[in-house]
Amino acid sequence: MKLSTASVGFLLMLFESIAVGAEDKEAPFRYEDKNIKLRIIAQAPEQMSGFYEGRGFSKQAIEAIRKACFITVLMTNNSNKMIWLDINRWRIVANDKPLERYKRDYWKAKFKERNIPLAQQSTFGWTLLPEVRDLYPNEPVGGNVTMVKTKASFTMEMRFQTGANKDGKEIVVKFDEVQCKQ
Amino acid sequence: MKRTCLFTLLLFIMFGFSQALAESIRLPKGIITLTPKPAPTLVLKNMDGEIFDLKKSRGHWVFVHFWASWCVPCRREIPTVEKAMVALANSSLEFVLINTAESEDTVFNFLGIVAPDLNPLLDEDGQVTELWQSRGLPSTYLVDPQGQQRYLALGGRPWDETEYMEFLKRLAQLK
Repeated sequence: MKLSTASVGFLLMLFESIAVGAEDKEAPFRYEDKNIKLRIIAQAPEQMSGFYEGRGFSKQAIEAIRKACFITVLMTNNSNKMIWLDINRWRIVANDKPLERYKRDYWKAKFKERNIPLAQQSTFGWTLLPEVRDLYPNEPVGGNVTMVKTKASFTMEMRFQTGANKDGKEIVVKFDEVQCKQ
Repeated sequence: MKRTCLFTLLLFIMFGFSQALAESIRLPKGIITLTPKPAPTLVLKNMDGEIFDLKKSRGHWVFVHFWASWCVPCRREIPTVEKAMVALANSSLEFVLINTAESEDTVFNFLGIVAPDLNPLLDEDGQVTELWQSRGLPSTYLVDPQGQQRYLALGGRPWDETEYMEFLKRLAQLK
């Protein structure tokens, strides 16, 4: 039983069934070394809306979800020290300009103005990648990073501090030519 | 007065001994020790409408587990939780499962196939799970007899495997 390696808290059925199925054709971005294992997958609006519709999300919520770009990030700390996930330290750049990221507050406000039930807000929140996380050795984490939808390809430069006091060597992983699925 | 002092001292020694024992337990993979802090409020109804209040579980260890049916690691883990629960039914360890933000129908349909013996608490609006600030789903906390969060399982764990079962058995023996 491979619970420990597969136990990414936010892995949805969607990611296993659709995203993994799509990987043969579209080769998702992957990186792995002795410190970190990282994979990103751009999700199509139909995949995202299908998942949330299946959980009873209202039309208004789905409408807002379909307008955003969803990138699923799955990572595991392969090292024997702490690795810090902090999305604010990442650089997501399209055409030399930072791409606007939709953080939790954006969705909170969006859902509040559309009177989305708390249960749906909660479920949605659990499918987002945590903004900040101290990842223990062998600990996986996963979830969606959401941003403004663009047709331009963009770069995701992901930076991770390391060590309990964040004083270890920084890990930088860069994926170029990432695209939102339209 | 002497008797009160002696009683307090005895309690203090017992508590200290229990703390030391809890700290000396060999931890299975993916279980981390937390700096003890009071567990957040946990008052919810189960699927039969009965109210559970974690505060009333003082005096024994509690396995507090958050999950949702859409979460793949939860789906893999929950049958192992059920097996551990059945195997430890005669111990003092109490299992408390909390479904996060799903309807009773969804939970009922899911558990009917996967783990029919479980009767989880329903955190229908997800606010109790938020309060606990879990690291994700699934999340398991082990709460000590004084109501303190003492251990956390990182992600899903195979609770029915020997090292996890031994760990839980040892906890159940601690006061």
